Amino acid sequence: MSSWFRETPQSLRFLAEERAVLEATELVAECLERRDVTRTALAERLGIGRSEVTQRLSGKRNLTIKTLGAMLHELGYRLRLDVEDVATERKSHDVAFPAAILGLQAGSHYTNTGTALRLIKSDAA
Amino acid sequence: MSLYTQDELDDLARGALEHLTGQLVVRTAEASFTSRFPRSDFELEVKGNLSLDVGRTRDGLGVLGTFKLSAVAPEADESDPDAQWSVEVKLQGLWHAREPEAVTDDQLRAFAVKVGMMTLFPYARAHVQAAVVASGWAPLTLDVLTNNAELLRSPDDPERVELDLITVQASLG
Repeated sequence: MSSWFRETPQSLRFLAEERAVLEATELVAECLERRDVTRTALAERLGIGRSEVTQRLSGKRNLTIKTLGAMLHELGYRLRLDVEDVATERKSHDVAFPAAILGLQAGSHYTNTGTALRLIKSDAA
Repeated sequence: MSLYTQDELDDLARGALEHLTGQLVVRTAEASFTSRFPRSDFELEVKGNLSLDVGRTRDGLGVLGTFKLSAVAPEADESDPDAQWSVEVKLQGLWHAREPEAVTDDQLRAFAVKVGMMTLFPYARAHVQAAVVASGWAPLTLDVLTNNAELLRSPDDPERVELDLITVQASLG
């Protein structure tokens, strides 16, 4: 995972949604290829425009379970849903910080603050 | 040993200021920082020193301030004498001046204290603070410096500044 992605409950849920959309569109694309059916042909079978098929497969249109089922049906497939348990997998992503780092939250401090300098002769002299 | 009051330093520094044209460059000439892994279970004692070198360039006056600070654990002993963090930064200020060769050595030294150090110090504060924070230790912010700062006061006479501490270099910058 790229270091810029901040894991929050909302961002993880969003990521799960996007992954689901990607898996669904890739599934249809794979089935198109297996059957050697073009997007134009699939659009004709569904009675829709080719551009709509393209938009569904690109994620620009919300691909519902119904439309996914219809597309696969026209390609000679039946949709079967399955799940993957990521709850335990997610826990393994937790990073254990050394106690020393956690201790930094309190912050160390100094006995003398401000100007701790003395004026001296330089080494170059 | 040449000890001067603040008023005497003012008079000397004016002799150098008259030559300035107003153009100034401040740059970091050298910087280093070392640090152990940060800890929060003890307070650190910070010590440091500042040395000033001043000189004439072909067309101006230059001041090189070397700031060294280090933080040690409160009960550092022979078994663990090393600093928890230490920083050294050399800042160079170059003031464009007319006839820099006409400025006397004492005028140069006074200029280094009255103008040079005061100009470089904020950059040193910022550098020290950023370096310490980046290493994970709590930030250390040096006090805002004034001309009557304790660091300038001679241990022999707290009302005077030991101008000999400022080194005049034959070639600077």
